Amino acid sequence: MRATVTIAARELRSRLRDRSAWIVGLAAPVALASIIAIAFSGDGPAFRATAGLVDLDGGEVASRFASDVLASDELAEIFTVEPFADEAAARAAVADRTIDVAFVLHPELERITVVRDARAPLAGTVATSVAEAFAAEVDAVARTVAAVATVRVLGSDAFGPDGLDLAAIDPTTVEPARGADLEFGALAERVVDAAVPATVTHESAGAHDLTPAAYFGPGMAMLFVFFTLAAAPRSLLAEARNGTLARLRAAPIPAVAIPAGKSLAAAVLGFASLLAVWGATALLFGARWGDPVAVVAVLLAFLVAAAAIATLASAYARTEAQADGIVSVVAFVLAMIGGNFLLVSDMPPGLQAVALATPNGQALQAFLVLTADGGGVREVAGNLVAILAFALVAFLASVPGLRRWVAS
Amino acid sequence: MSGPAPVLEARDLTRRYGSFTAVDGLSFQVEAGEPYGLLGPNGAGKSTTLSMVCGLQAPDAGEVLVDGVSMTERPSEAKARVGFVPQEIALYHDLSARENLAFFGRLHGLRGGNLTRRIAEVLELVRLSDRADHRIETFSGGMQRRVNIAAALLHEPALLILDEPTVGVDPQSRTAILDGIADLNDAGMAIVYTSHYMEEVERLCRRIGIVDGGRLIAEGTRHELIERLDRADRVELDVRDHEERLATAAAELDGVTHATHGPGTVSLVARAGRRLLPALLERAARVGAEVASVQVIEPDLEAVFLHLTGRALRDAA
Repeated sequence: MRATVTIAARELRSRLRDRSAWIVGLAAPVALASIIAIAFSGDGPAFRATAGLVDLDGGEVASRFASDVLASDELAEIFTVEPFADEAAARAAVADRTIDVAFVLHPELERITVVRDARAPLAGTVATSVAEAFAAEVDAVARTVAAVATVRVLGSDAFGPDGLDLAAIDPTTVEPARGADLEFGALAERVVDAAVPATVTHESAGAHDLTPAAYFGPGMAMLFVFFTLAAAPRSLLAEARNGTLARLRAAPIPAVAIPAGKSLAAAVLGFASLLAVWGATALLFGARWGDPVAVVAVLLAFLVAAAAIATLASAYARTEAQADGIVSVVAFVLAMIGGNFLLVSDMPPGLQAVALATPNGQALQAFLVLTADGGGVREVAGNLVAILAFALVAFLASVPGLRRWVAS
Repeated sequence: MSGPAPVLEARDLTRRYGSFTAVDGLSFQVEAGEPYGLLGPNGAGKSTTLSMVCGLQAPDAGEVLVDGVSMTERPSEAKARVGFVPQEIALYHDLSARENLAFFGRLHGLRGGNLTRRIAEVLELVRLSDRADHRIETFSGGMQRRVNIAAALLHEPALLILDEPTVGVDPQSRTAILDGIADLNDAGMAIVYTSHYMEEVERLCRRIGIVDGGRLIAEGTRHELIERLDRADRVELDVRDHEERLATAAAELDGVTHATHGPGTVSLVARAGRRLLPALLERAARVGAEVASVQVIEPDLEAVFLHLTGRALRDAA
C-alpha cells in the first residue's frame, strides 16, 4: 500500500505540474457545461423576427389576425409586422431575407399560408404555430355559430347525444324563417367574447425543475473524466517507452502497486474534476444536482466504470497515441449515445433504450431522479448497480491486455 | 571449490518470444565484490538476460538466485539486493535530481533522515550535489547518465547491474562514469556490466562472459579468453572498393583464421599478423582494392569474438 501511495503521489505531482490536467479536468468541462447551460437556459437575447402579412381576404376576421393576434402583448415582442399587397411580393421579401417569414391570408380565410425561410427555421416554426392556433380559433367560432343557427332553425330535438341527428328532426316543426333574423357577425362576436380564457401554467411533477446546468453539468463532467482517467494507462505506456517502468519493476514492491498507484492518482484527479464541475455549476448557475450523498455515490460509481472502460480502451493499445485515440472515440461515442449532449427524454424511443445501455445513460438517468424527483441513494440504487456492472464487464475484458503488459 | 559465496547465480536461463529463443540455457555466476562483464552485440540476449536477473521478466526455464534468494519465489527480497541501471535514462525529466532520487529511494523502503543522507551521498558520489535541485530535463546527457546510476545506489545493493550505461555519452562523461563504477567495485560492490564496447568491459571486469545468439559462448578472464586465440593478431584494413574480394583473397593466405568485411573495412584474425602484410597488400593490389591504412592489433576481446563467432563485434552491433 505504501508503494501504491508513493507512486500515486509522484504521478499527482507530475500531473499537477502539467497544465493539461487543469484544462482537461476543470477548465474544459466547466466551460462546455457553461456554454450549453447558457444556450439552453433562455437567458440569452430575446428572439425576434420580421413577419410579412398579406391579407387577401380583407374581412373583419382576417383583420383581427393583425390587430388581435400579431399585435397581442406576447407576439408583439417577437414579430415586427410588415404588410404586403400580394403573395408574390411577400415571397420575394422572404427569399431576399428582407423578412424572416410571411403570413398569407387567402380569400374567405379558406387557408393561411406561412412562407418560411429555410435559413430562419425558428421564425418559421413560431409563425406556423401562431397561424395554426388562429385557424383553429376561427374554425371553433365558425362551428359554434353554425351550431346556434342550426338549433334555431331545426329545433333542439335535432341534436342527439352524438350530435346532429337528421332522423330525429320533425319536418313539421322546421321553420326556416326562424333563421332569417340571425346576425352572424354579431353572433360570432358574442361567441368570441363568451369564450373562457384558458390560462396555461407549468409546474414540475417532481421536486424541482430541471435546469440545463443541472443536466449538462454532470454530462460534461462525465465526458471529460474519461480523459483524466485515461492518463493512468497512458502513463504506463509512457513509462514503458521512457524506461522508468523497468526501474519501477526492478524495485522491491508488488507488481500491482504500479498500475494501482497510477489508477489511484487518476481517480483522485477524476473525482476532484467531478466535484469541481459540481461546485462550479452550483456557484455559476445555481444548479442543484440533488442529494449530496447520492450525488457522490453516482459520481464514484461512474468514476469506477469510466476507469474500467478507459483501461479496457488502452489495454490493447501499443502506443500512447493509439491509447489516446481509442479513449477519445469511446468517450465521445458513449457521450453521444448516452445523452451527455442531448436530454435522453428528447431522443427517439429506440435511442433512449440504447442510452440506458451505457454507463453515461444510467448515470444521467440517476441525476434526473436526484434533480427532478428529489430522490436519494435508494431511488438510484438500480442505476448504481448497472453502472458498476459496466465497470466489472469492462475490467474483466481488459484483463488479458493487462496481463500482456505485465508479461512484456 | 570453496571461496566467496556467489552473490548472483543465473542457472540455465531461457526466454522465448513465440518461436524466437532470445536466451537459451544461459548460466553464469558472480561472486561477492566481483566485477563481471557480459560482452556481445546488440540482440545477443544481454538485456533479456539482465531483465531476468533483475526480476523484470520471468524466465521460461532456469532460475536466478541473488545472495541465495530466488528471484522467482521471493522477488521482493531478491530485488532489494540488486541495483539496476537500465540502458535508457530511467528518470522523470520533469522532476529534479533530488526528487527523482527521493522517489526511487522510497520505493526501496528508505525514509526520513536515512533517505536524506543517502540522497546526499549518492549525489556526492556522482558529483552532482550542486545540481541536486535542478530538473533532469536541464541536464546534459552525461549528467543524466550519472543520476541514472545514482538512483540504483540509494539502497546500497550488494549487486549493481549496469545495462550499457555509457550509450550516447561523450568521452569525458564516459571516463567519469567508468571511474565511478570502478570506485564502487573497489568498495566491495559486485558489478555486472554489459556493453558492446569491448574496451569498457576489458577495463572494468575481471571475468567476462561472451554472449551470442542467446548463449554464453565463452567465459573467463581477459587473459584466459585471449589464450584461446593461439596468439593471433587482428588486422584491420581501411580500403576503397572490393572489400568482399579482398576478404576472400585474404582468407586464402596461410595463417589467416577469420576474414570479414564491412563498408570500407576488412578485418582479419591471423597468426603473426605483421609478417602477413606484404602478401596481404599484394592480394589487395591484385583484386583492385585500394588500401588506405593498415592496423595490426595485439590479441584482444574483439579478436576473441571474431574468432568465436566469425563476426566482428562492432559490425554485429
